[in-house]
Amino acid sequence: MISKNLFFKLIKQDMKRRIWCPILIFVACFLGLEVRLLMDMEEFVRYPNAHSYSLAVYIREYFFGRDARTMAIVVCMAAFLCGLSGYAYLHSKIQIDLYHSLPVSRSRFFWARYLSGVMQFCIPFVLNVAVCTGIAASRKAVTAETILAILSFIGIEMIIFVLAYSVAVIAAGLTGNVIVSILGTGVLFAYSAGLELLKFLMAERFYDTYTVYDSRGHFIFDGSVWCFSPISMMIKFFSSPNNTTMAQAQKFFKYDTSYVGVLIVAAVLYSLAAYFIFMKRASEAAGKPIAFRIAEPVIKTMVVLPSAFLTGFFFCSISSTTNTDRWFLFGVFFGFTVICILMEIIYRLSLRGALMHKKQFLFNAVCTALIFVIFRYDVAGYDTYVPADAQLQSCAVSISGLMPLAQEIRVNEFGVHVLSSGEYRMANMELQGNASVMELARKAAKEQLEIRYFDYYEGIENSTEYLETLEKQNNYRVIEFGYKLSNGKNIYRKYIVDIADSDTLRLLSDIFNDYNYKIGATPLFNDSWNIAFDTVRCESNFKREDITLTPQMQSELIGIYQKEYMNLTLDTIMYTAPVGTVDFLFKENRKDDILYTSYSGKMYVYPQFTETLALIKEYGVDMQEKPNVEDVALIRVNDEDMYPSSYLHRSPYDIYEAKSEVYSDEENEEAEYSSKEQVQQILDSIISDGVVWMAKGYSNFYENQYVVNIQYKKKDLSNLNVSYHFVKGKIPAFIQ
Amino acid sequence: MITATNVTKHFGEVMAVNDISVTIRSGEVFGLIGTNGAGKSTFLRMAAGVIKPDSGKILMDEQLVYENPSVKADLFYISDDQYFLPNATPQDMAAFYQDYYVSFDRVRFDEMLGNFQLKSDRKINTFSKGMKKQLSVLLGVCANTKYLFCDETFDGLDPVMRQAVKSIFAGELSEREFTPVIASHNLRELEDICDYVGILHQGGVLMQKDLEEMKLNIHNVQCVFQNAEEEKTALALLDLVKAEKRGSLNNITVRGSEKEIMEKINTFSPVFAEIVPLTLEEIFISETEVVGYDIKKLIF
Repeated sequence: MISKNLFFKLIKQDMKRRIWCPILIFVACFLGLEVRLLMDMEEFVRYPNAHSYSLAVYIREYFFGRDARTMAIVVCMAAFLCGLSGYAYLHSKIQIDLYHSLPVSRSRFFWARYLSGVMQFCIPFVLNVAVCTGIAASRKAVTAETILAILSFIGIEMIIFVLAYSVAVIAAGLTGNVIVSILGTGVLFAYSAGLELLKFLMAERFYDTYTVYDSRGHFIFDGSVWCFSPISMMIKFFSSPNNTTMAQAQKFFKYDTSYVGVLIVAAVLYSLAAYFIFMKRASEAAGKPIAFRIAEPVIKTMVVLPSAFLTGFFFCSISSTTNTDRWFLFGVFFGFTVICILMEIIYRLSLRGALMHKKQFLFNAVCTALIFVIFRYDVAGYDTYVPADAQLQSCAVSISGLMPLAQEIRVNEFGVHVLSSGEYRMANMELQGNASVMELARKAAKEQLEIRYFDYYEGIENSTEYLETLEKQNNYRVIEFGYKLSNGKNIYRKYIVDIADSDTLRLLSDIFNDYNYKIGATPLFNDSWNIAFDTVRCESNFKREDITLTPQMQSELIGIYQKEYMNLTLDTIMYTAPVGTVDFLFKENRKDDILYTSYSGKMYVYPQFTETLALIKEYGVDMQEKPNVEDVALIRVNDEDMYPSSYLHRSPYDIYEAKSEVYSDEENEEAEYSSKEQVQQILDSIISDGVVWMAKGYSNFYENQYVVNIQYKKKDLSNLNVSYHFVKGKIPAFIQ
Repeated sequence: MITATNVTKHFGEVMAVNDISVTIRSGEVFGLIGTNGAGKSTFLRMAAGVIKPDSGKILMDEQLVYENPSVKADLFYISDDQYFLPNATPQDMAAFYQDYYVSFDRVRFDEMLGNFQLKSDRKINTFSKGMKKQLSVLLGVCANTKYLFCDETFDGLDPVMRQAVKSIFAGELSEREFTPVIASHNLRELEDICDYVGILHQGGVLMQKDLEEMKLNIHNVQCVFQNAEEEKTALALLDLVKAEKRGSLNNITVRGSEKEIMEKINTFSPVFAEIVPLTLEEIFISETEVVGYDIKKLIF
């Protein structure tokens, strides 16, 4: 006769037997919660003015919010501990003989153990959270909202625990040996993340047009691989999104609440899978490396293939040459052989088993070779794919180096959020009915231009092949396409185009001149209307000034600027020297200084933007104003016989780097000019390096040969510390 | 009653139990004899519901054992290397089993611990191998289950302890419904305990017999006949299992009751005829030799 309370007795018994487990978890939680909170609170007390937010906000939004991800690491460790210790008996024949001969159904036994494991985490964890709440309350930092945040925090961590715990239980059930089950837990826990990383590395190496968008948090995780492993799910859950609108970017991100449901479902499914495996597992599997023989070849293939390729990438990363397949292939071969042998040894638990299963070895070798061939020779036609017009709903284009976009925005008191330019454009631009867009895409996909990399060697700079390649590649530019298909899918490609090709330039010009391109290319024209910027920075050739505008003035400025920008052509950008730039900024008072973050990036103001220039002047800044000749002490002109040369090579111990260097002859000449006429003439024909830099990708309006430096009579006459170049065709005769 | 019908179990490519059919009657002490690897432990583990047979079925009181807690509540399994909870004392183990076996007799357990001079609060990991086996038997007996499966539990127990355990078993058998099933690789260990014995070899049952019945139906006779002709006729009348002759002395193993054998021999007015007791070993040797096995190599 079985006692009615047996289930609870089993839980009690198991908890008593593994009391070390909750004790360890208690200590870990204590360090991760109370100690951390006390340290953070101490900082608040010591530096009361260092934060723009209160302790209560910090505790609610960060400690029990965003920082749940830090605690998730402790939670996962605890889950592995509970899972593996709770079901380690499955690996011992004598323990199995005891437990499975007892008059209790396996089902009940499983759930009792399962629940006991959950409680071994839950009790010390909740206790520690309660103590933390008490500590926070003692500083009057607990409100009703904080309680809600704490409950959410407990809920989130519990879901993560169940997820990781179930994975450990599954691994224990699938294996019959502690070491193998620990390895199995690791593999199950991170498998899909590993696949995602591998897919990223493979695509990046073998596909020239590969580019990643739609990623959440980390560029590797673009969501193209099903996130079935807890680590992938957690990365997805905790990673802040790559914001595509200002409204999104401004929202403080704790974790993705919309993903909680997926986590819950995954936790339930993993628990049920653990139960199913436990019920199907034969008791005699104890001591064997793998409990289900049928799964052996599948597991082997699933581990060996990705491991082989990852080893290939590892060897690539440590070798001095990466542009050949040599080290990659060596790594793949080496990794494949070693992992195959290791897997066999693990399965057989003997060295003799290393060369068993030759058929599977061969099968895996063929699969590895096939995957390599598919990627290496682009069998699937990834690089040449361009959707047919009929499939296309709209298209987004991001021409790099043409229009600026700020990279980061300080959105709230907790820090900077990133507004990725590429992703912003892919999400916000919808080009339709412009034939040049797809014509350029097809042309680029057909031409398959690629930037050639050289492995560095002594004297590479003198190689004709190298120099010719560099000269050609100087005109290469990157352009990214986002194809929004009618079936709802988004496909992204990155191409290299040659702007020396007049046809390409014509198509680029058509795209740039498209109203929808300009509107979708920068958030300044899209969603800046209701944003109150702290400052507008106007930078011209000779000065930089910040102006504070009322919302009305700001709207007026953006409105006029947008109107004039819409008439801007690619030709103007290429051949007209801008007057300067305007930049819309957020300002933050920090401990020691003021921090500015740009929302718009430096937007060019051209001489044609007469209304904009007039309005800015009305607001107090004359961007076209030049320094008074009287104030200039002298102008120094260096004839460095400079020629810019981009070269792409891999430095011996570093990754590939695209270098844009300036070479100069040893016999540089420096001349000083101080006569009023000469100074005036020079001032009329130079352009600031800061402005040039912003337009470098497409600008063709300045000379490189001379570097001009102005020395003022008084230091406070200019707040710019820049060099200048001469505008093309305007080098004064006395300098030439 | 335990009935195993055509039970088979493979471990990978190894056939551990091959088509075994055994009946264990209630109220008898059943001995399961076999060499290492004969399949005794596997059979007991299947009978205890630890592992599932690949084919065939094991019924305990006409119910399947595997995944049947109500049936398993009637059995207690002592494995060849019994597991005790880490750092547990006999008291802890009793408390542990008490949760599972509602009829566990704690008072009796404490009393028997005293009788066996085992300290209830001493850590089991400090016990000798023999003490652990004693403790296992005590726990098993005090669980008050109908069936007690002992895998090699008596191997290595000293004769005094074996006698003590035998007495406990005798007491249990007389007081309640109790069926111990004892597996051993040594027939001598079980000779004085078992009522019924099954011999396993290479995963199959070689034979199973009631010990008393076996003892009553086979005898060793030493006899000398008056002449060779009478000797030949007499031996032809007997159901001979084995016959040896040294000089004129015949040493024969014969099937049948003592009375029946002597009546047949006395018809020929032998010079000398006497029944000599057979040990269990000798009975088994004789029986198995008949079916073509040299059992000496198997179980002694």
